[in-house]
Amino acid sequence: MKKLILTATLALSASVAAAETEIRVHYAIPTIWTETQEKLSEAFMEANPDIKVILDGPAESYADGVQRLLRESVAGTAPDVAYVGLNRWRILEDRGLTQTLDGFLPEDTDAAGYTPALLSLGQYQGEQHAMGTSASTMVLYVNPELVEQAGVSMDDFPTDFDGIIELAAKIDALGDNIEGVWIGRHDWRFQSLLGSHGGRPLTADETDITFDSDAGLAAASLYSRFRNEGGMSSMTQNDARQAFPAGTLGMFFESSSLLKRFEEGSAGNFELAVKGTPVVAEENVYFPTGGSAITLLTDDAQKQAAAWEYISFITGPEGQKIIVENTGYAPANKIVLDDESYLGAYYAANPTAKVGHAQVAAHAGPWYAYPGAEGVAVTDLIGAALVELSEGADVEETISVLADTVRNKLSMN
Amino acid sequence: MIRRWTTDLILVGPAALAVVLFIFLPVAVVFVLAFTDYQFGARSANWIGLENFGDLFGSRLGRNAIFNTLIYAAIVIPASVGLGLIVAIGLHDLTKRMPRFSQALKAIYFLPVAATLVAMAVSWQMLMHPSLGLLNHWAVSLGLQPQQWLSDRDLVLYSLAAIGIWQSVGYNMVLFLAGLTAIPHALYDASEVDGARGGWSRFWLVTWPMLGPTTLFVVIVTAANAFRVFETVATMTAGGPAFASDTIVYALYREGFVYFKAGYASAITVVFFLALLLLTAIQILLIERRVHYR
Amino acid sequence: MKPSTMITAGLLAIGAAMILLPFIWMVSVSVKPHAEVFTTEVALLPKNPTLQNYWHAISQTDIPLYLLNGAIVTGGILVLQLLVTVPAAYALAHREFVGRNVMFAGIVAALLVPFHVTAIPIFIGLAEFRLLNTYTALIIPFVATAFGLFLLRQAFARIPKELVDAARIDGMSEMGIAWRVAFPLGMPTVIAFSIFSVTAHWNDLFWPLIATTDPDLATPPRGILFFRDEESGDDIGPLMAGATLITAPLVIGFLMAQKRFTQGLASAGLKG
Repeated sequence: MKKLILTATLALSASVAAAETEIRVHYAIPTIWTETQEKLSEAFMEANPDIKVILDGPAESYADGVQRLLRESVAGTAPDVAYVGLNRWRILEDRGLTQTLDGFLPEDTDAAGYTPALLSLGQYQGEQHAMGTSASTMVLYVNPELVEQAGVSMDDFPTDFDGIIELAAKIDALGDNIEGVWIGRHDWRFQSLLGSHGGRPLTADETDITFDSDAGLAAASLYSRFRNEGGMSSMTQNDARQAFPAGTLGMFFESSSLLKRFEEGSAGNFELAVKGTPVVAEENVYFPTGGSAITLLTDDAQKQAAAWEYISFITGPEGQKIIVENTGYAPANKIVLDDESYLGAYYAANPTAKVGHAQVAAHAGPWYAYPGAEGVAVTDLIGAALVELSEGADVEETISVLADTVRNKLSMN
Repeated sequence: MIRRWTTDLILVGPAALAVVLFIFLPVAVVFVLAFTDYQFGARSANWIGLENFGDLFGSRLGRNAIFNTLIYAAIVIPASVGLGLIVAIGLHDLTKRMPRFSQALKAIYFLPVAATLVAMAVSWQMLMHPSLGLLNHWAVSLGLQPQQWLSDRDLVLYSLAAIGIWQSVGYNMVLFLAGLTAIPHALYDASEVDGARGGWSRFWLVTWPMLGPTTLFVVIVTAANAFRVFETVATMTAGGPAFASDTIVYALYREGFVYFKAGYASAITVVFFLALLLLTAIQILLIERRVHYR
Repeated sequence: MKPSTMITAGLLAIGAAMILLPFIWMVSVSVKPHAEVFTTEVALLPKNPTLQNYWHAISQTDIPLYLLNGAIVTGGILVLQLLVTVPAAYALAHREFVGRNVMFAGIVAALLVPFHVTAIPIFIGLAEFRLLNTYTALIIPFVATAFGLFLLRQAFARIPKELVDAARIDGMSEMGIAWRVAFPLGMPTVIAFSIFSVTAHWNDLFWPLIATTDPDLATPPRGILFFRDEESGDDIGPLMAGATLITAPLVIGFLMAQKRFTQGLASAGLKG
């Protein structure tokens, strides 16, 4: 009903004002983004009355979003601007769908709050193809009640993986349907563990796989240790996301962007706590940054100009303030972090958000995408190998078979 | 004469055009694409001969999808045909003695056939939730081990098969009931004269042979549907975990519309299609032979 | 009553209960208040039933839009199928024309082709004509129905030749005979086919998943998946209310016209 009324009103209002430039915007993950996107486009249109933003119906996930953009470009109905996963704009770039932003960026990027690190999230071979709009890293969500029930005080909460595994086993022993720890069998989670051990999935020139290094094996072995020593079950991502707020899962490695949802979901059941992902290596540590980037797709000059107005608003301090306040993502513009007038009040009211944002500030790094047409298929293969590990497969063998398969698929021999 | 032709053309033209355009032409195209490396959106494609088929049968993933589909079918076909027959015989017996009750049961068994499978799959998914689902709740209160119905790689295919059976029993029951009603009562009387008193001997002597053609039809229909399983996979597992519930039609969808490998997906389509044709050929052959024996 | 009858009835009733389980669960969760859904105590039946979730599903989500899309798509498909199929089936049954046998053989051959086989080329064709992501894409591929042509031809062939000839002598046009004589006389088959067609397309997920990416065009099964992923399992009450609303039209139709439904759906076995 909501949309029916909305469509009717839109149709009416569209006939009233026709002289303005319209830009169509694509985004994904409605749970996190729908309200925020509506607020963003309202605020933007208020500041730029001559530009009209039309939000496409959202895609379910970043993966679906990119597929949809590719399909729409086949069909000739691609939008003008698209929010895509930080690891996925390369898929669009690879097929020549993104327009370079170099001609639009201001001379002094630092003054605009775009630090080199933040810009690096959207650069490939020296060209700016995307701008980060929101950032997240993997944190550890904790159910303090289960921790206390297991006989451990939250003040003594472990800071390394060994301690977490030990605690997980204690929580797991509390009951039949109580789980100790859970982590997704997913490329990004694996890259996070890898980065914590100082490893990288690919060489810098992207000509070879490097996750079969010692760091990679150590990261991968956590999956089997979580299972063997911590009693991690084989439930699915969705199961876990339901189990944690319901209070049946003790510790959950997940994206910092889910904070708001878990807080709402667990309200009344328990008060959740957030911890950083343990850092293992002494140097080279990074956490792959999830979140979204914004890309320019239209090749129409007039639309491009309007679209850049939109992009700079979103990546500027005003847009970033709206994004942080509504989603809990860490900001992708330095001005909002430095200038207390933007988010000071927010952090005072949301101390749990600070953990994730501090982690971004300390260790943010790129979320590696596997190059070429098989890039998406490869992440599915990695996910499948992680499932095998979490069911007790031999770490060294699984990872070396996986690395060979991936090399083969990506023609890296 | 020309008027006659025009009339014919107006009457059958649209239908003939539609069938050619949306059935025959696409089938021809898919057979061509299967020998290319075409990707959706690409401007060109290369002729690569049998490479796609080599990949399908040669790769772990390809063989896995075929194998999973066969296992799924091997469970669903006998179970849903068998259960459909049992329920039909039971209901047939009850029709005279408890007509209302048997009518109600018949409606219930048929319900899943009419219901929207995707919506029901969402409900099944909740029933099968590892910690919040009813199935595990019951299992625990009966002192059994709770199961990861949809995320245990060794179990997920069987869970999906159970839902496949749940969905098709009613359909088979209806076909068997029609077959049972068509058996003349005189045959049972005659068998009694021959000494077949018990239920079992009556079944083997009269019911089973007389149901032969129906059973064959039911088996073929169930098989064709089992090989096509897609909705439950797409809704509940997306082929996972780790491709443990990847089936041939889901692989077709994944390779074609998620990975955009239209050529490879066409090869999967061709294999799928030929397998179904083989099934039909077997059906025709069996029916021919049956006719000969009579 | 004989004990064996009681045992049969009992066993069949247990089986029926298992068949009903997901239906009961769906409806039960749909009337559970939020607090009863996410608890570690799992109960089959709600303690404090409420219609809140239905109100939420109707007013706060796009479920009504999905239902409307379902009606547009299934209705569009059925109307076009009948418009194209009825005259052709009539001609196949009652007219001699060049290529008639070829066409009938073609239809029987086409019966063997499941829709999945034609999906990739049809997707490419629709993309070429910029038709993906439209109602047209959801409707037009199904206008060609070998099953409908076959079923209706068989039904119309049972209409006596004399009746058709009489209509011709009365001066009726051929199109007029197809619609005013054959169509009403073949009505039971037409209804069976219509039930089959509406059920198949209302419940289909495969093609909507491929042909559309816009949630505003989602048919009921596609929509329920959008809804589920949007809420990601946090809001199961409204999700189940939505699932119930989407399943309801066909289930109610079935309960009201069991015989016709059973006929229509059982005949589908003839299709490849």
